Amino acid sequence: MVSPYKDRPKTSYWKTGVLEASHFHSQLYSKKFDIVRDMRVATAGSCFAQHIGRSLIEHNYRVIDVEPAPWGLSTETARRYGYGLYSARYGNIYTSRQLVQLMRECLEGIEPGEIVWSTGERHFDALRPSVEPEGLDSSQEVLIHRADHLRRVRALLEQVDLLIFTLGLTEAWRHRETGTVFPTAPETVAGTYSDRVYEFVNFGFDDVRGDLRLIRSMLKEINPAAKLLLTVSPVPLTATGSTHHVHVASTYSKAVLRAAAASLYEEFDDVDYFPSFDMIWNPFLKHSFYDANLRSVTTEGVEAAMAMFFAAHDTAGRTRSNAPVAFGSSRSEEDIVCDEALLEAFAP
Amino acid sequence: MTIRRLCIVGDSHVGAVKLGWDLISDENRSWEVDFFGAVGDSIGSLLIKGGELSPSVQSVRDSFALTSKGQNSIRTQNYDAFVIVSAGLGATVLTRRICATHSLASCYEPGSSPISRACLRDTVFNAIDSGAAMATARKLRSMTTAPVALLPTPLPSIEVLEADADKAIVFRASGMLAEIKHLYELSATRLEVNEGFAFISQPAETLDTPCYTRREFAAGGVNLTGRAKRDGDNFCHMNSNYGAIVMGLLLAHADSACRAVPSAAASAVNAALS
Repeated sequence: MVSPYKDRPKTSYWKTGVLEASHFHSQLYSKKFDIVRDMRVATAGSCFAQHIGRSLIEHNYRVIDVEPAPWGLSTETARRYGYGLYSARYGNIYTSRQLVQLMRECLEGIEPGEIVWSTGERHFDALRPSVEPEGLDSSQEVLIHRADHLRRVRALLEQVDLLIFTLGLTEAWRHRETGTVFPTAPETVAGTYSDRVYEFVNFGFDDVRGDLRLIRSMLKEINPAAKLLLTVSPVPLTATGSTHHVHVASTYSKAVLRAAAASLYEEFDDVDYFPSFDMIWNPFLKHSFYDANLRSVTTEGVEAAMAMFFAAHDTAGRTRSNAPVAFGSSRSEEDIVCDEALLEAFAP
Repeated sequence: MTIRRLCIVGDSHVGAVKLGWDLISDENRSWEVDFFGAVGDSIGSLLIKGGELSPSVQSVRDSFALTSKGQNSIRTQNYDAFVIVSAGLGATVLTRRICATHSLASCYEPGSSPISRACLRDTVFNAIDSGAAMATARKLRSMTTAPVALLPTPLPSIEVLEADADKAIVFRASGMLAEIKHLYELSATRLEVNEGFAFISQPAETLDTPCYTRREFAAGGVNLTGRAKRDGDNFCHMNSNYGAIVMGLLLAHADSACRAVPSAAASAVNAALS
């Protein structure tokens, strides 16, 4: 009898793949398909996805932006209004259910249950409240902005060759009556919380896998050649709405998202998984890729993850550096827009 | 008689101001005026070298030499006051650039992207703050205590409302030009208070309505070299009559500002004359 492990590569063994390997974390990715520069790439997801988009742009990938900022607005201010963060101005899409809702709305015309949140005389798009920090003048204006946004997202989905979606959370706040989920809890950015109107929901594996299948099928229906690259955000929860300790809740959330992404990866040839989460959420490194707050990923962490991506895809050698990124002093991701972090304002 | 020297630096709109000066210079012998013009926003790239504001590219150097009768950089110590003309400043250019892609929901038309009032406000503030005119003003401020004023691009001629040209369309969007003009004025006030620059408004007598210039000032509008602009481009380039009115305003402002600021250049020039 010959052991089925006998001819496995070094990376299959803990001792040679991790313990004795130099920079093992940079060898975690085996691409399923090529991602080349002339592909039209779109990014969406939780705030970690902003890093991916920026890095691809820096490396001259063709990242689509269907809602560019107006001329004259500084890059910093533009980000405050949700411009230039992702391929459209949808803000952070933390859960797979949010993306399903958005795609249904722009592809099938299925309206969410609650679109406008009003705070005093200001009015917000409840499904992307952070993109207008001061709100809009009227509910009607919110609807005009949203209709234009949906038209552009549809155009994005029609033309994209690769959709990169970063899964962030399983927890969300849901409109009881209609099931609409929101990127933030009511009253965090806008709106008014009432437990008679909203409820906490923590999606499970079947929910997320089902959402991802729907996302893929809707995308393929409008754009049969499109592919999907899934990633999981390594950023832990700022706060949990569950009764669990926030670390336990984070572990649950990431485990569900990671398993659902793996399930899609196994099921479909046109779905790849990029293990930035596996690299960064990693207790076996001698140095952490997390900032002092133990949530934000350092620039070195982002660069290490993206170096792994470009090492696999940028075979023409135009990557700035394929070498593993040196560990050292940490710099924070201070300019990444993460409205989930607003929850910290409510921390005791 | 005390002779003072005024430096006018800007873009193609310097042409009309220069022709205006030609009309009124005999009546204003207490001023000598030098003009430095270069197309578009190119004066934004001027570099400080010693006591001079110098072009970093040959085309601007050549343009300066042409418009100033031989000088290819600005020796700041030679002047008692400075005026920056246009260089992208003002509601006209902002409207043309912003409204090419965005409009307020109240003016929304399919094809453009809706922009909120707050974002439009920040866009206008950012654009002015980071534009070529303010960059030049700040460089001058770092080199001299002489007064620095800024003059916006003329508002479009009222004729634009009747025109079919593509370039006219953005100025017809109801409300956008007025909104951006209002935001420009707010931004100018803020910069006056915070940084001490003077923002000079387009003379009231040149206006047909608050947002449009009287049509007679656009007739025969000129560019940097004094040549007439093509009809399709001519909604914002004004003629020598406009330039004369503006020049009178600039000199009045400079007189007033120079009385408030002791003049090293005037002292030097007068000493040389005596």
